[in-house]
Amino acid sequence: MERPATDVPLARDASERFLPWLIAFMVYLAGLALASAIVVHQLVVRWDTGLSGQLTVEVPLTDLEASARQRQMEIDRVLAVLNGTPGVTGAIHYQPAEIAELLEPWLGSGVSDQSLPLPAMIAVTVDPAQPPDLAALGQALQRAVPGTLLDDHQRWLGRLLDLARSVQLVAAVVVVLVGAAAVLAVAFVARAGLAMHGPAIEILHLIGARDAYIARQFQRHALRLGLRGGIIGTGLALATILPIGYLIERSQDGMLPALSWSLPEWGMLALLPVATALVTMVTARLTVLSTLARMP
Amino acid sequence: MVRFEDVALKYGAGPDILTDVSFHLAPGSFHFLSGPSGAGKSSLLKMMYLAYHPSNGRITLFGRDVASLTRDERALLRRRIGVVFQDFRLLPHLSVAENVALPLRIAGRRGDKVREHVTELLAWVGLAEHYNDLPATLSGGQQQRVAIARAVIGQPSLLLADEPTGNVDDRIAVRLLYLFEELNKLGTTVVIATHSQPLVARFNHPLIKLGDGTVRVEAPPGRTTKSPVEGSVV
Repeated sequence: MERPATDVPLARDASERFLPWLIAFMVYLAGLALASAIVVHQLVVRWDTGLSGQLTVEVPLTDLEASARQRQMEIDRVLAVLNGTPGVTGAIHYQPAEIAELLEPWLGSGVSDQSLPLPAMIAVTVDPAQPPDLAALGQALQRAVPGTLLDDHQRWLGRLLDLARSVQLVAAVVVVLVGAAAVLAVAFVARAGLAMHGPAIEILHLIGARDAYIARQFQRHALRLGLRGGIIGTGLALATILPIGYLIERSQDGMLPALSWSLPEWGMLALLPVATALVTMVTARLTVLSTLARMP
Repeated sequence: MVRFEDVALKYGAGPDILTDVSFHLAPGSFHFLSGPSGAGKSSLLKMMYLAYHPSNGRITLFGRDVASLTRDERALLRRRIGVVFQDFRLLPHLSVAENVALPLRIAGRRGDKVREHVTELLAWVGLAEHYNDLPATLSGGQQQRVAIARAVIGQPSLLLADEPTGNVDDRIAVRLLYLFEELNKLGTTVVIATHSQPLVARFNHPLIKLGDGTVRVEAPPGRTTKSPVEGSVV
């Protein structure tokens, strides 16, 4: 289909060919940064909701000579303390076989309570509305069986959140820097276009064109190139993310989250080309208007 | 309509090209602008269509001091001025019809009415069969007629033409002058820069004479019609 002629023949400029690719590479980087931020966010949410309202009690195996019956008595004492504490809604003692299963990704199969002095693990659920006094509970557990640890996961979760936040911060910085680079590139191209098409622009002015009319010519051009670059860049980003997601899915062993994005997450990625096109359009418009306004 | 008061013009720090130019063109008047080459005919026209700023004095167009106009106001004022540039100034990548329609498009008018108008005007200047051609495929005279069609399509209040008959034969020159007279009868104020004495003699209109950097307004050579000139002289 023949494209309708524009008053400023920008479609014949070199920018028509190189700008979309320049934008595409930048959108690609932004897309990957955005995707990693989303994955980290999901990870944090998963661990946070999985662990909130959860405590873990570890009863250490101090006396390797102790009989199974003595061991069970220790665990029963701890369970009694827990069940007698207001705010605790449940306490489950993990059997050695279950612990071995949980450790399998790290230590491999064949771990038994005989080969390693594994502590007894008790998963405790608490009422989030009325949580127990953790300090008092910890002391009570110490009295029941010395060396018993109460872990509310906060320390671990806090470190994880710090890590996640820094990853997200880096991703945001990458997106901002990439956006700034795109703005600079588009502004430069718009100014070059103004200089190159000076004679045509002068004629349009003399015939009565307002600066906004000239700017419209440039912003349409930039919108088209930005959209094209945004689509190419997002396509490339998807072509990178989806295979990685597939590899994660295939190696599903419980250590990494599956790349199961929902609509809002895909929507953020789909918005990338639209946002790019808008940024390039507004940049071109403002550049042209400010440059023309400085003319006599 | 057009008022110059003590207007001077110079390029940069150079000497004055025009000094003490004062005159007034009444609405609906028709003037030839004449003078030897280099006397400043084009410069005077450029000040009238707001391409040059005077280095001194005051220019009033349509009752507005042009020095006080914002960029947008200047654009809107220019829409009331049709200009036939000496070097045509057609946009080379647009077809003849698109070039002619440009002032209407810039003013936000589109559609069948515009196309009808363009077709009619191109027929008038004898270029109907070149509707879709690019300017580069036309002769100098044909390009000049495209430029004239573009200058008049918006039915301007003020028409400024810089040597509009310089590239056409006498027959077409006379025909174009009739077109300008038609517009003038409809109320358009016309200023035509020319150094064709035969045309000036044939069409009985007052003369703005440039020489030695100043300007003089003379009654029509034939003196058969009442001159619409009001102000004058330095």
